[in-house]
Amino acid sequence: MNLANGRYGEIDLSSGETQEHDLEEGYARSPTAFLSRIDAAIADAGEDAMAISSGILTGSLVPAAGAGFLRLVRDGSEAESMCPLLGFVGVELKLSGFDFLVISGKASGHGYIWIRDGIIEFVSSPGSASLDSWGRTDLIRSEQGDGRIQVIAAGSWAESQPPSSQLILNYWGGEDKIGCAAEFGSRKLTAIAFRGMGELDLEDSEGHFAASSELYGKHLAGLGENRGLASFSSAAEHEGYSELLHRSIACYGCPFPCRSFYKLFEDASVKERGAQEPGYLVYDVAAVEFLTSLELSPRDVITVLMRCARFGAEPVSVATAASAGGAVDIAAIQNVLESGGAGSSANSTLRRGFADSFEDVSDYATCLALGLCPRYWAKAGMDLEAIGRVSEPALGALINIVD
Amino acid sequence: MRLLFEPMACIACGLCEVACSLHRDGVLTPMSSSIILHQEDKANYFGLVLKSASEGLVLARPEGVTHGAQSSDSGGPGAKPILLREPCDLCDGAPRCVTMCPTGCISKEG
Repeated sequence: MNLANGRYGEIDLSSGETQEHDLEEGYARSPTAFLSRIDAAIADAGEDAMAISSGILTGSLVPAAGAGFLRLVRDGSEAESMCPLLGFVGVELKLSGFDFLVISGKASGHGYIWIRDGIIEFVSSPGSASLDSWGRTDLIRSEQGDGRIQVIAAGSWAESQPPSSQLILNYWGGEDKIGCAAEFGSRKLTAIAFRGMGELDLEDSEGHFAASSELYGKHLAGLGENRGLASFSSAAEHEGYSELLHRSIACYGCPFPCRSFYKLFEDASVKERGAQEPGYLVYDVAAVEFLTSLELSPRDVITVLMRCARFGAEPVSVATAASAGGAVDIAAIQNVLESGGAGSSANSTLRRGFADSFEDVSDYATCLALGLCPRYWAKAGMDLEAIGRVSEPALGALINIVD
Repeated sequence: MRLLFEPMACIACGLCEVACSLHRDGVLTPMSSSIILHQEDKANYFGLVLKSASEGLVLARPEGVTHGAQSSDSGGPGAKPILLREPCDLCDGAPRCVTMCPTGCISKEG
């Protein structure tokens, strides 16, 4: 299959058993059909199952085609049942040999799922239970001996399974606004890690390259100068952020990044390798806007985001809890974080993420099913005709986007 | 002709890697490219390593560009080391990485 592996994996955490299933030719003929196929696989695995998936075009040269997603079976809109997986996570998942992975059951002890070269296994890791999300990522990369392993980690907050817990992707947070980390905690699943070393076939590589490079050029001409996070958040235009800004960094295939790294513990102008943990990568626009509205300084906002990431806690919900007693400061937020999250609630009104990129949530679901970043495509302008035109040479067929 | 680098313009999007593999093997993968994105997440330290035919390894790091390196610390044991890869052939005069690079980090001379 073009741009696909043609199979999905399944793991039952209760028994540790894994399976591989072939996928039917044409199963991803449209975003709707693709999501339906994943839902069917989830249903086959059991009531408590969930899935992590790449998108139909993930890893292609369609602009910003680096997205994957975590899918939960929940009542409500797609915004409540899909969590984006950005950075290089979606691409590495697809290159690891599976189009998606279905996870069911609960492990008897803490551990993580490790996927590479078409192999899935549950690695027991009792020592990781006491680690924060950064420690869990460090441990996996050290154990498996590769610094580019992609890790979706829960933090200590997931242990008590509050809806305000948050998954952390390679140290950074901003995608999980629907409490997926609580699902990890309930299964004693500390992380899912993968390394993609496969390759993706295309029907017409020359045609895909030509069409995509033309579209990138058109987008860049219209987007103007990129200022990283400040191009997406008015709060980040404050000079206090500029003083801490190191460099902006993109997800796979994105020409207009929203992710800016701010240095808290080192001069931001330092180019060389210096401190090992000098700061934090910020792209949680909703959290930056909310924390700024609480009159926290840029340095304090970034500090809060970093601490929340380490605990695996959703920052808007944490700050909402901390502000219940009045003014918010770092100490109040630290107290909430150290509470462990048990009994804490999610701020479902103000905590917003990538799902709010579009007014119509169906565009959000379409983007993720296609493997495209919703935030980028909202910025560049959702253009289904262009997506179809650029992807057709890669797939060898015109995708039916409006199924 | 040779490739030129402006490392601080790099945004680590990875398009150069897959554009290279597309030319070389007609597939999308970072495993066969002559150019590698080197990335250290927590330090936000990243840059490019090119295996060139005429200048050895070209390290385009934030500190600057160096030529003729004998080794690179890019890629772990799971990745295919760049020294085992084919050197850049400049895509027969139209480097794909230059075309795809969205920031002008990679350009060509000559």
